[in-house]
Amino acid sequence: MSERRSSADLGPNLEAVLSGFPFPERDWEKDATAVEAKLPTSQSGEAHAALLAAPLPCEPGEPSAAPSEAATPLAHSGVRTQSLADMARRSVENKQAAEREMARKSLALAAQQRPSAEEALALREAVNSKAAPSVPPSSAGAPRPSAAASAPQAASTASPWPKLAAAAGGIALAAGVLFWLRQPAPPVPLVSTVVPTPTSEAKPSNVDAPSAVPTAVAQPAPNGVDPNSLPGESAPKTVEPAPEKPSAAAARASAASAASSRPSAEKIVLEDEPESPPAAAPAPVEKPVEKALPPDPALRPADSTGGAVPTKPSTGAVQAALGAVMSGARHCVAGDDAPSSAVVVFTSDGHVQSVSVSGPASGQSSGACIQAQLGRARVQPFAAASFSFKATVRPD
Amino acid sequence: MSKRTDRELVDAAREGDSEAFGALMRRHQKRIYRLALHLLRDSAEAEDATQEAFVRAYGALDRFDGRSEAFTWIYRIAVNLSLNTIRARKPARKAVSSDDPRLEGALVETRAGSASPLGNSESRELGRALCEGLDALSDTLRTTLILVGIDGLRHAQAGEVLGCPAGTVAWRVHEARKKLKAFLVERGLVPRGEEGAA
Repeated sequence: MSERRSSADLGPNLEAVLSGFPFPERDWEKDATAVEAKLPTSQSGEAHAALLAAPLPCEPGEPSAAPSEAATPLAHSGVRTQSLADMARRSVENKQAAEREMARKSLALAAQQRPSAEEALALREAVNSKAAPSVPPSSAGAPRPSAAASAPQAASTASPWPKLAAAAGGIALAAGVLFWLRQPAPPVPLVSTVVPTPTSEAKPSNVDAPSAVPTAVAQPAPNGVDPNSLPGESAPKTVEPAPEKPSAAAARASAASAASSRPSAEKIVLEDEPESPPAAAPAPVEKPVEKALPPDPALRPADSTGGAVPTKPSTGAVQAALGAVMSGARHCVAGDDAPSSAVVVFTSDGHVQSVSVSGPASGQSSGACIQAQLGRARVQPFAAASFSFKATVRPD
Repeated sequence: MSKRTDRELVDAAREGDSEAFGALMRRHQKRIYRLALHLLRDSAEAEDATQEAFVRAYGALDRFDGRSEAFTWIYRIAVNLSLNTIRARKPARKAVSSDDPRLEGALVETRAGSASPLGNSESRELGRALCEGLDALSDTLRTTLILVGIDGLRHAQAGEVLGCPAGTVAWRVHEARKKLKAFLVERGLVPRGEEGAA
């Protein structure tokens, strides 16, 4: 009877009384006989339709979904939860599914455009018939084989190159489509006019190239930003002026987005402008970044090394990660008077390594429930070996 | 002769075998009566509701479509009849009197030395508190908790009786237990912060 257990259990004694609630014995046979005497002679469907209707159907505000076996107590409560991370994950999955579907359709299209075996055969016959006069007969007296007899032979002995070429063409087309789909959306240049007013310390020492830039292009970030794809310190700040390729465009987009995210004034690279050599690029100015940080350490971003993995997750990130799962944890201690504490230890990959619970929920089933709930929290990967955070779980 | 299933008894009763329906009734009358007793809190009304439920069920056997179990179908009729009786009452019964038939049952059973988890007085006190807590619930939560908590129906079966999904039954049971627990905590019968998982 696991479905009868919940965080609102009444305790063993009361549960036993409830489940074994006694009732007075009666003369059941007498009751049955009385009912049999009342039974109608025919089953005429006398029961009113209302008696067969659902007595207490779903009311507004009540959940109607059946909980799964692994559902959390929050799910049992009927409160539907959907974290932003889940929504984002689902969105990415949908996008990938759509891309896969497009690629599949493209492949099917390419396969349709590929010449069929009959067409290839007819083509080869035509080529053979044109080439036949130039080919000397092997023996003058030998009868010439009929076309029907020679066709299979020709098919088996003909050069496979046309077929292979057609197949390769189809594969190349499909690969191109796939490659194109895998790339982020082509950068739509959001051209904003930059008033060439000289701006203070943001202006680098060698200002020749930047000052000549009349417009700035804000490159949009790729649709799906992978933290690993973001450029680090060693990322090139300029892009080779090669012909427009998807990979180059993506690199440029990421470089531009990284550059635009820096608070210091750096050169904004125009898409169609020839790049200046890396040596001419101004050195990153660190001071304005430090000045721009808020005084409250809790509001500061995580320790970072210029785009690399942070040393430890920021307080805000941890709070956000725990906040996403906290409602479930709170439900675990519903009914408790005092809050419980939990120390959550994250590993460097952002996952929760352990959750230790103290307080009223310690050693109780609600403690395990809290561990399960908070164990779902995720933060961005960080450089330190582990990071612990203390959270207070207050009852609902 | 092997024991016939509910479905076989229903099929036989449909064909005019009143003995088959009698067997079906004797199989389930105790549970139906207990359900009606907990819903109505009156033994005479519970007896009437039980008899009426079987009479109505017999009259509507040809409308039993077989999608649910036979006993949940009869339960549904009994619940509807009981709720109709409750709604037809003029004054609402508030207090649990000493001659509450539910407590009478508890006393009889403890006297007989049956499996009561506690002693006489304590059991009776707990039973009274439980009855009061149950009576404080809404009809919806109370009926659902009686079906699942007292009668032992599974959520899916209770859903068939009440006409709602099993998830809704689970939610109602959880809510009912939560409210019942809060009621008992106020009475000091459940220590504050105690988790029931023993």
